[in-house]
Amino acid sequence: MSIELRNITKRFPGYTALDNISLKVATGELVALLGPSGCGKTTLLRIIAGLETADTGSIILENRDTTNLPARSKNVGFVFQHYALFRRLNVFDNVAFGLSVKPAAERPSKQEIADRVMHLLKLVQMDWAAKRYPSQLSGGQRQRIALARALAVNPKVLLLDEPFSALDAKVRLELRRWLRKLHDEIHVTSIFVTHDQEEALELADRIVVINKGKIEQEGTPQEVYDHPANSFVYNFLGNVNVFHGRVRNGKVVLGQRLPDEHRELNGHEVKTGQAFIRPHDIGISRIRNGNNHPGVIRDIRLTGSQITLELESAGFDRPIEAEISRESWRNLELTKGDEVFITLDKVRVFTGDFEI
Amino acid sequence: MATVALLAVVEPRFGIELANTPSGIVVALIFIGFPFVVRTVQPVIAELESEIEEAAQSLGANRWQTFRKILFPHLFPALLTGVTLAFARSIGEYGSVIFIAGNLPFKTEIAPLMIMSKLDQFDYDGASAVAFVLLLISFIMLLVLNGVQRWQQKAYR
Amino acid sequence: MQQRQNHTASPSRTPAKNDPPAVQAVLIGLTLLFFAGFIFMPLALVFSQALSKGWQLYLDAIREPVALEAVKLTLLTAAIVVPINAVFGVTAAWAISKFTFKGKTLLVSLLDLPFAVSPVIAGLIFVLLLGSRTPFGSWLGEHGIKIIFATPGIVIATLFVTFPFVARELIPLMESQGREEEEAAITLGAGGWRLFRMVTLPNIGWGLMYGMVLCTARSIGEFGAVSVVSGHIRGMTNTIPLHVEILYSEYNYTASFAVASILVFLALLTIGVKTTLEKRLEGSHNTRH
Repeated sequence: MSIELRNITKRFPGYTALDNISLKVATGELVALLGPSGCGKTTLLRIIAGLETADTGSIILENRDTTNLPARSKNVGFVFQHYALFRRLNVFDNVAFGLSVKPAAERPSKQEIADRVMHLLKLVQMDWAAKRYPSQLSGGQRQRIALARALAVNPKVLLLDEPFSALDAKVRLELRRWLRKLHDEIHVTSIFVTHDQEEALELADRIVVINKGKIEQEGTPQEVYDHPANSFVYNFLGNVNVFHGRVRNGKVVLGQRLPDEHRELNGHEVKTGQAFIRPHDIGISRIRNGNNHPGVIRDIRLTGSQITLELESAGFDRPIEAEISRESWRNLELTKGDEVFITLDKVRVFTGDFEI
Repeated sequence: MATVALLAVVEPRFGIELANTPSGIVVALIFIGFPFVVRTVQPVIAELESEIEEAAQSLGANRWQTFRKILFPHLFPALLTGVTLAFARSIGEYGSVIFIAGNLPFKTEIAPLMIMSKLDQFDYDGASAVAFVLLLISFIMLLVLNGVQRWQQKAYR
Repeated sequence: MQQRQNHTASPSRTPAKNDPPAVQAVLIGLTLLFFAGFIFMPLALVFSQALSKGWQLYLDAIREPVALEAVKLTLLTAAIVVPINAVFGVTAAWAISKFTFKGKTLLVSLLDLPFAVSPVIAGLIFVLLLGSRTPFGSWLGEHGIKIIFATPGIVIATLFVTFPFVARELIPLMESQGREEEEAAITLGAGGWRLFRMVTLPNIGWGLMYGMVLCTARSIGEFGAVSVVSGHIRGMTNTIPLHVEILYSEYNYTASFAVASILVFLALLTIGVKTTLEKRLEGSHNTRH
């Protein structure tokens, strides 16, 4: 086990940033801390790095309790959201920094440092820029240098704080895939913080969903996406339709018909609840069968490879969003104002309060 | 602009021939206080995004309206800070004024000069008494500054 | 993220240029008039007065031993005061810009104290504190240490009057640069002095120099505070501004303006250095992202 957090709590005046968080990360794993801004994920990362201290709890890195170790002795690599390159040092000296500040006894020779730096610059495909200064590089290039700099000291773990959020959409996507590949090559235990669910789903081996200082769910991307533990996770990962309904005798009353799945519910009293369904799980048909609802197409939007339909159906308290492929859109010959029939499979219902 | 302002900070000791009149003192104090206002307001103007002005103009405001409704309120805290500093400095100014004022009691004698002359007569108590009043004004000025800064932080964060 | 705009050369500041030429002309004209009346004219006056009786008298006034002593003392004071205030200024700016704590705004306001308090009063405070009439002052006197009416007093008064300059210059610079670079250095194993020398100092270098230039300028020109603590002993505790005043009050105008021209010359020199630094400083604000 590479990283182990035990009962980390951190309070700031007026609110609790982290509430009794425990987490384990296996060696070589790439874990995403996913949550909305202000949920405490960055604070958690900074506590692991020693940049902040927890009120209670302990941090174990490779079986060694590092809770009270200062940040500079922790041997973690940290990649900052805004790169934090040393603007007065060139790229080479930036990457060499961690090695050159080691005490004389541990410091590699000049030649060894140079070799290591150039090796890392090649690894991040930036060896051509060794003599440049940070201000002469683009955002994506700077972030690669920041990564090389963090890796130079052979860190036990690599921590990345929203590493791609300051980049353009296209560069972000490229760098994200590149980082995944790099991780497959070097296998350093890594945690990255993000509020972008797509990024977490694509990049991580495992996702830890955090909200209001608490872990809501952890699991593989597929687990958290397909089997959200609660309404928050459902809502946070991917687009979703949310309907208010009532639960009566273990059945959900929603629109005119009941969805088939309601396994979360026991008990017979009437409760308010919410039904969740992802837009791409909604079936659209021209033909009525016993299992679908009539609805009217109010709007059609082309969102890249997909078509998004906005539908209105009697008994639903808000418009329904459905995503279908371009192919089925063409086959069904849908236009605004058409009447269609909607199949609501894979509905998940949660009782209790949840604000959206 | 600030370049020239420094001159005033460095060497504010010489006045024009308005000697022995209160207006001479006014001239000297303008010379002294001016850089404080320029140096506090100038960075705020420099940092102001031109987009804000452009937005105002695209919404139909003319230059004067843009200045009065957008720029001036934005500059106001800095202006207040600068004016307060200039005021405080003017109250305490000694060097430049004594050359110009002639130091006639009840006409052109300023408070810091009173302190000086009492000190020359070894009247430490008298000097301290005058100094106390001036200090009080300075502290009020500081309180105002502190208030302005807090207000600025609240309003523009 | 806080982002600073380029201070002077920003091409994006177009709206002001769209003003009608007449408005521009009036604004620029008023500014120039103000400058001419309040800045250039007095300065020109200094030189014309100084040279009114010819070069020979001018040179004699400057080469007089008492004048030379005054120049020496002024430069010595600046040489002691500026390094001390540089260290203090960096410390204060570091504390204020990189940490949050209670009473921070109050501390920032207190930084302005020397601006808000009359220099004469600043001098008086030190006379009352360290003068021979007080227990502490007389204790010092018994041990042969003379502060008031001596060079140490001049240094202390100048220290007080000039202490905000460096900190005032560095606080906005350090705030705009943020803490990330220092944190990055910490996670890479750097700490303490090395962190300061390799990361912080290079980043604030130009700002620090700029603050020190302002500090130098003010300590050379300070009059009120020094006047109170110096005791006006000729050739001993006389700085350049004090010497100017003595000559002036003796109706020796030409000599007075001649010595004053040394001050103006030093001021012009500082402005030269300062303008160079200002350009560099813009660079350090702008290299962020």
